[in-house]
Amino acid sequence: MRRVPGRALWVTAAVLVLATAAACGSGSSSDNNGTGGGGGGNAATPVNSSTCKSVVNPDGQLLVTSDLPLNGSSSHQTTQMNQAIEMVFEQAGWKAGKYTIAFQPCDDSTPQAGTWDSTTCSANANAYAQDPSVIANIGTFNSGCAELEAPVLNQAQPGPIAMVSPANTWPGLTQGTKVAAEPSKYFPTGTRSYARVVAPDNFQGPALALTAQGLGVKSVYILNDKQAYGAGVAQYFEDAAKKLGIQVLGNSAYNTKTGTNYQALFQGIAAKHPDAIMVGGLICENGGQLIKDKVAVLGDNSKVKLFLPDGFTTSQTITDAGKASEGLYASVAGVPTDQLTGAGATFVQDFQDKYHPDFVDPYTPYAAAAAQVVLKAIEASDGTRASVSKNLFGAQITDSVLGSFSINDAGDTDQGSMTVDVAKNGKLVTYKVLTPPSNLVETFPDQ
Amino acid sequence: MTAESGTARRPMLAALPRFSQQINRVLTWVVVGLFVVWVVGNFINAPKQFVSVFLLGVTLGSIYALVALGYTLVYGIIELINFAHGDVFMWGSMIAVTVSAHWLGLDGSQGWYVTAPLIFVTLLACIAFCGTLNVAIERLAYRPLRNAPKLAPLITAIGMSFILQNAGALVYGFIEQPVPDIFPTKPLFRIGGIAYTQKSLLIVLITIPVLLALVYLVRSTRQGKAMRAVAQDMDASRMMGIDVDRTIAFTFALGGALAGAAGLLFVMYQTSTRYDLGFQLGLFAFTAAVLGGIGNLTGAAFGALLIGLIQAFNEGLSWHTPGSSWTQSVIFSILILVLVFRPQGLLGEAVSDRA
Amino acid sequence: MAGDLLTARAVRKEFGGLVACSDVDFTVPQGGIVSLIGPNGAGKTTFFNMLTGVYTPTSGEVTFDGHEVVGLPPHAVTQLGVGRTFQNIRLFPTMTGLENVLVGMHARLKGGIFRSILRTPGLRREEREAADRARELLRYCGLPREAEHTYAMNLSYGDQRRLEVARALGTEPKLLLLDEPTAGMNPQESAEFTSFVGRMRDERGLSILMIEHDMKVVMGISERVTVLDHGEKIAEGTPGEIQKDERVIEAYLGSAATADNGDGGLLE
Repeated sequence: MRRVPGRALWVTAAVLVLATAAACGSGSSSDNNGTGGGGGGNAATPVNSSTCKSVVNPDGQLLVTSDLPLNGSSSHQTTQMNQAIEMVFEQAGWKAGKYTIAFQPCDDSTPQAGTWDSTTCSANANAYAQDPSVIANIGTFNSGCAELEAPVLNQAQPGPIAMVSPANTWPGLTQGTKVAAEPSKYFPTGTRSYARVVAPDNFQGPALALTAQGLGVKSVYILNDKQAYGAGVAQYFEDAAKKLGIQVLGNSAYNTKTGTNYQALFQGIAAKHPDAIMVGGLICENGGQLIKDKVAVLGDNSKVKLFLPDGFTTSQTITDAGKASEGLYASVAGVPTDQLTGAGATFVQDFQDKYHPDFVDPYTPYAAAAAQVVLKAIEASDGTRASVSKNLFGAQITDSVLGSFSINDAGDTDQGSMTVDVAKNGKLVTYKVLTPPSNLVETFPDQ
Repeated sequence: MTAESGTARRPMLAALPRFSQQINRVLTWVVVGLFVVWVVGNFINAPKQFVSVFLLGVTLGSIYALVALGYTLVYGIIELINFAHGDVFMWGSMIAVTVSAHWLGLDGSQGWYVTAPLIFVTLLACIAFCGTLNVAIERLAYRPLRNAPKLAPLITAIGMSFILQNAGALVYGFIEQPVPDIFPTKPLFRIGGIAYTQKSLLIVLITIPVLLALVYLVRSTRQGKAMRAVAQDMDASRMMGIDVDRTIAFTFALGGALAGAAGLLFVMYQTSTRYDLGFQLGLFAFTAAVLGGIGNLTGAAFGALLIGLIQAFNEGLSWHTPGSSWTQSVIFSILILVLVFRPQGLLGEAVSDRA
Repeated sequence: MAGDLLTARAVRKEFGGLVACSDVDFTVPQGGIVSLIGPNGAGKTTFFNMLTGVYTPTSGEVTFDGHEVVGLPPHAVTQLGVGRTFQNIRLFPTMTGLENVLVGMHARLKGGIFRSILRTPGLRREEREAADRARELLRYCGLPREAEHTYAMNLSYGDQRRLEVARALGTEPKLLLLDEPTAGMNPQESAEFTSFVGRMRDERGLSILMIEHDMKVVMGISERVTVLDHGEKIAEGTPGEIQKDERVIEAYLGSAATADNGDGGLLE
C-alpha cells in the first residue's frame, strides 16, 4: 500500500476549487420539452434544450421564448410571470400583425443553485440562437444571467434576437457605468438588441437613499455581497446618500456562505454608531442570518434602520429572518399592483380571475408589459430577427398594463417609479412610491 | 492518535519542498510574534470591542472544536480526512431543527423547566442519528477501501459529502430552515457595555466537559487504549486481541456523536441552518484540526479556538484588520501555510522524515 | 496426537504462482517447547501468520485447543489463547510500557463505555486489578520500574524485546509464539532468555513455539525441532537428531545467508 498523501491533497484541492457554491431555493424539476417536430407546415421548431418546457400554441410560426429562473426562491414569481406572458399572447389571439406566434418558457436556473446558473444561461442563449424560429426572448430575471445571454443573442444569425427583460436592474445592460466596456460588450455587433421595462438600479439606489433621508437617517454603514448586482446597487445607494448629506461610514463586503455568523462584523460596525444599515445582496445568500445578527448586535430595525434592495423584497425574507425582519425597508422597481389603473387594473383582475393566485406579484404586470413590447415589435416587423430587434427602440407603448411608456434608443423605459415596502407584522406592505429626481440618478458615458 | 502530544509519523506533505528546520522555526515564531502584536494593538485600541469580539470568538471556536474533534479522531485512527464530516454536522443541525421545532414545538414560550429537558431529548436524537450515520458511512464507503491506496477513500469521502448534502436538500429543500429562538433575548450580564448571552455561555459550558470526557476516554479507558493502539499499529492490535473493525466503528460513532451535538448547538445559536451548511463550516473545522495538529485531540480543540478567535478578530476589530471579506482567505491561507511549513500543526511533535 | 494443543494438517499457502508453504503437518504438544527453524525464506513467518489468522491457508486445517482456526479473524485467534511477539518489534511507540501491556490485556477485560464514564466501583476495581497484573508481568519479564511510564519507543532495545513478551503474556495465552526473540541479543542475554523461556513454560503453564536462528537457544531449550526449507518440512526431531540430519546440513550450507550471529551454525 503506497501512501500518497501529498498528491491526494492537491487532487482534493483541485476538486474543491471546482466544486460550485450553492445558494438556496426550493427544488422543482423543469419539465423536459417536446423536442420532436411541432405541428404541420411552417410551425415553429421548439427549442432544443432540456431546460425548456412545452410550446404553447405550437402552430404559431414565430417562437417567443421566456428565460427565467423557475427553481428556487424566485419560482413563485417567475411562474406568475410566465402565466402573464401567456395571458397577453392569448388575449392577442396568438397573433402579432400578420404573424402567428408560439410561446416556450425556459429555465435558466438549476435546482441545486436555487437561482440562475451561468452555464445554463449560456447554454439557453446558444439554443435560442440556433433555433431559426426563435424571434424574441423575454428575459432574464437576474442581471447576471442577462450579461451572459445578451451578447450571444446579439450575435445570432441571420440577425440579433430581440431581448426584453421584465426585471433586470443592472444599468450596464443599457447604459454606461463605472465598469469598463458597458454597455457595448452586450451588443458586440454594434447594433443594440436588448431592452427592459423596469427602471434600473441607478434609480433603486437613490430611491432607498431618499427614503432613508426622509426617515431622518444621518449616517449609514453599507454592506455588499461582492456580486455585480449587490455591489452595484450598494454603490448607487452610497453615491446618492452622499449627495443627500447622509454620512457613509463604510462600504464593505460580507461573506455569503451558509453558516457564517455576522455578530463579529456588526460588533465592528457598532463601534461606528450608524443610524442605519444598507445591504446590497440577495436574501438567499445567507441574508436571513445577516438580518438576525444585525438585530442581535445593533438592535431592532426601529432603532437602527435597515434598507434592502429588491434582492430581499420577497416573503422569503420574512420567513428566513423571522422576528428580526420587522421594520425593515425593501425596495423594488415599478409600482405596486394595487396602484395600477386602466388597462393595468383590468389585467390584474383578469389575471386573478384566471389563475387565482394568493396575491399578484409586483413583477407579473412587468412580464405582461414585456410581452406587449414584443408583440408590438413583431407586428411592425418583416418577420426577421433583425427587424424585430430594431423595432424595440423608440417604441411607444400606449395603453399597456403599465399605462403609456416608451423605450428609448438605449433600451430603457421612461418610467422611473420605485416602490419601497416596509415589513409590518410579518408582511411586506407598500410604504412609499417615488421617482428619484434626475440629479440623483447617476449616468455615465457609454463605453 | 494521542491525547497529549503528537504521533511518531512523518509529516503529511514531506514530499513538498520545505525549508530547513531552522528557518521553519524562525518563521513560525515571526508569524506568531506579529499575530500577538496585532492582537495586543487591537486591545489597546478598543478594549471593550476587543472583549466582546473575543467572547464571540470563543463561542464560535467551541462549535468548531466539536466538529474538529470528529475530523481528528477519524484521521488519527485510519489516516483518512473524512470530508463528509462537515455534512454529518449539517445533518445534526437538521435533526435538531426537526425534533426541537417541528416535533416538540419549542419556540421560546415555554419555561426553562420544559425547554431544558426537551433540548436534552433533542440532543440525544442528534447524537444517536449522527453517530449511526457516521458508522454506516464507514461501513459502506470506507471499510471496503481500507487496503486501497489512500487516494481512493479520500475521493470517496468527497463523494460521500456530495451525497449527504444532496440528501439533505432532497429532504429539507434548498431553502433556509429557521427555528424560533428559545433563549431569552436579554443578555445574561452586561459589564460596561459588553453583553454576554445565555446561549454563548451554554455552548462553552457544554464543550468543555465534552472535551475533557473525550480526553479521559481516549487516554484512560480500555476502549480508548484500543483506539490508540489501532491508530499506531493496526495489525499488531489485531494480534493483541483487538477487534479492529469494531474499534474503528466505535471511533466513527464517537465522531458522529460529536458532530450531532455540534449541530444542535449551532442551531440553538444561529437559529437556522441549510443543506449546504457543512461546506464552509466543515472546512473551517478541518483547518482548525490541522492547525492544532491532526490526530491530536487537544490540538483540535486548541486549533478550533484559534480559528474562532481569528475569524471573530478579523471581522470585528478595526486596527489594521483585513475585514470580513478576507476571513475565508485568511483561514485557508493558514491551512496552506501549516500544511507546507509545519504539517504537524502547533501541538504536534516535529518529527524527522525517517525514524 | 491426543494432548496436542495445536495441530496443523497439510497446510498449504500459495501466493499466486509461488508456493510459500507446501503441505506442512505440524503439532505443538500441550506444555511443550517447540522450535521452527530453517534458512531465510523457508516460510517460517508465513506459517506463523497462518497460525494466528493473519493469512488464510490455501488449503489444510489448523486446530487449536479443539477449535478450528482457519477463517477466524486474528483477534479471535488471540482470544482463543494464541499470543505472539514479532520479528521486528511492533510495540505501540507512544504508549507507555504499562499501557502496551494493558492493550495486550484488552480481550481479557470488560471495560464498557458507560461504566467508564460513570466510574462505577466495578470498573475501578477492574482497572486497578488490571494495572496490578500488568505491573506484575513487566517485573516478571525483567523490566525496570521506570519502564512502566516510559514511551515504548524510548526504551532500550533489550527492554523493548522484553516488553514485547510482557505484552504477549498480557493476552493470557495458552500458546506463545515467539518470532526470533533473541535477534540482536549478545550471548549472555540469549542465555538468560533461554532459561526465561523454560520458566514461562514451567511457571505459567504455557506451551511455546519459537522461530529462531540462534542454534544455541534452539538446541538449548527445545524439546522438538522442525526444519522448513522452501516451504517444505524437511526434518523433525529432537535437537540431537536434527544436528546430524544430512538434509538439514545441506539446506543450511547451501543457502547464502543463514544464522546472523555467525557463531558456527548447526555444529557447536
